[in-house]
Amino acid sequence: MSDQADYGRGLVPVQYHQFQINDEDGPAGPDLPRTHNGLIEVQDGIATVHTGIHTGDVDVTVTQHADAPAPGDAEWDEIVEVSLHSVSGDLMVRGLMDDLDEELPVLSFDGPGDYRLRIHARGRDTAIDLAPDEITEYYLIQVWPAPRQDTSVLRQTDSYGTSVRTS
Amino acid sequence: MRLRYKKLLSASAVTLGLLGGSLTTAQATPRTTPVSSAQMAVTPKTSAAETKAACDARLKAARDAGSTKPVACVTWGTKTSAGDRRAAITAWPTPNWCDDHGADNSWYVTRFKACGVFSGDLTVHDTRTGRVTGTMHYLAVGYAYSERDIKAWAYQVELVEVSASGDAVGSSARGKGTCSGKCKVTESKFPSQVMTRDKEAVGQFFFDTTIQARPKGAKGEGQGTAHWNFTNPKWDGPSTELALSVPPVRCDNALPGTSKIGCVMPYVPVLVYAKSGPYPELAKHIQYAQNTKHLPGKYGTTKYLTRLTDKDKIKKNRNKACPSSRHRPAGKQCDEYPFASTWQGASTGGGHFSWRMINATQNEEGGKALGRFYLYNRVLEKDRFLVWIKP
Repeated sequence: MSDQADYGRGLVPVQYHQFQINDEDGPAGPDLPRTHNGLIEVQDGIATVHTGIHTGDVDVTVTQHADAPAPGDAEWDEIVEVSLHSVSGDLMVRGLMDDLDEELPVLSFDGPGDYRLRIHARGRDTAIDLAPDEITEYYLIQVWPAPRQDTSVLRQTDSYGTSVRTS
Repeated sequence: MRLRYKKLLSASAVTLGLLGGSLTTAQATPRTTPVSSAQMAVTPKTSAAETKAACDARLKAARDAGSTKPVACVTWGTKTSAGDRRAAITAWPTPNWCDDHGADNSWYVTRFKACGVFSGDLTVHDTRTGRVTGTMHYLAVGYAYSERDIKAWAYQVELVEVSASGDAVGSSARGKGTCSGKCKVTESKFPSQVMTRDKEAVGQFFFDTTIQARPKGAKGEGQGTAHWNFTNPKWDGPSTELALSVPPVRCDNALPGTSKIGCVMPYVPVLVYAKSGPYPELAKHIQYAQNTKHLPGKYGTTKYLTRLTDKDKIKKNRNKACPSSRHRPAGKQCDEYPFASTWQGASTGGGHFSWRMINATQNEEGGKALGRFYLYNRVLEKDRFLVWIKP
């Protein structure tokens, strides 16, 4: 377990079952198809996190670490680790069509370079394809600087993920 | 060329080479499908009455001063054939579609480019008698371009000689760029250049928006104008002046999903979905909604969609079209048209809408394409756009 450099939590707007992670100045990584793990895909250099809800807000926590921390506990339904690159040091969580009311901590907190992101999700089966008023989904993104490695799946238990992986 | 324009130049694949040396850059991959340019009228451009009055004043002044040298005047020409355009070599590339319409004295625009071919005449008069002692017919090729993530834009004018006679032969052109509205001129290059059948005169101008980068939400229009006149050692001073304004460019920092300022031309962007493309079920649903239910947004009409960015209103649109009571079959998601993110959506649009259960992946990927379309075309709150369903 490493020291946590920074922590932030906030609501992220979702439309069409997705929010984004990207650096506006360059591609975050090579294509990773949506069917690979059903949680995070990369297309045209932009990473997309797949949500169960169609429209609304999800609760996202970002934690920055100097080294790989322990993954989240059993409350999380799905956990996937992916390597993303930041060209300008501006790798951020962004809405597909909206700004965040308050920005989350930058993911590329150590400047331009390669980072490892461990994405955790829970609640994706609660309101599939709906636009609920209450928060039904939670995400945790642990990030630390690390050389590029293959994407690895740590946990897959929700049915929404199954539907994305098989579609 | 200054470094800060490098990205602007490279992104637009312009070859610029003024006063020796040229910079050729690689073509950037287009991120949106170009549809077609739209014709538009732009004012102010020096009017015929203004050019006549200016010329008469110059002639009178020269006479009053007792000059015996001729006086040169510039006017806009009438519409000419595309043959005129090909009569001269074009040194700097403009978009292929630029001269599709010949020299018809109109601007054509896409979301990030404006181009037009304008016909001009230079007439040299004998100061005492007013008799015409020389003429030059030329074309003014105006070209402006902006980028979705750059706060500057560029404007180039080429003056291409078509024919010259008498005291108009061997004339030089020179000028400057100005801008009005939310912009400032950062570079204006239009030095005196002798015009011949083989050598045109070129003016190049760069503008910066003056809107602030923060806080988010600002937008403003700026309009660049090129001014030029002609000189000739045989004349009594320089000719009268012409001015050509490019369509107003809107720059903003009000686009959701980006912190960058960008600038667009006044063109209504078109989102293209193909029935043979990656989202056939989505394309078929929109085609049904547009053609059978007569819902707005169809390409070729003026029943525009306008973007809605209020999250609560978008959610209301979504919940009206696709409430939880509609059963989702396995692998399907509820698709609505007009999009929830438009003012024409199910709730804000007054209740005219269509919904259909379509393939889940196509719904999500089609939504992603809509998000990219908004981003890459800088479609702001209440901006108009259309949807074209291709075969």
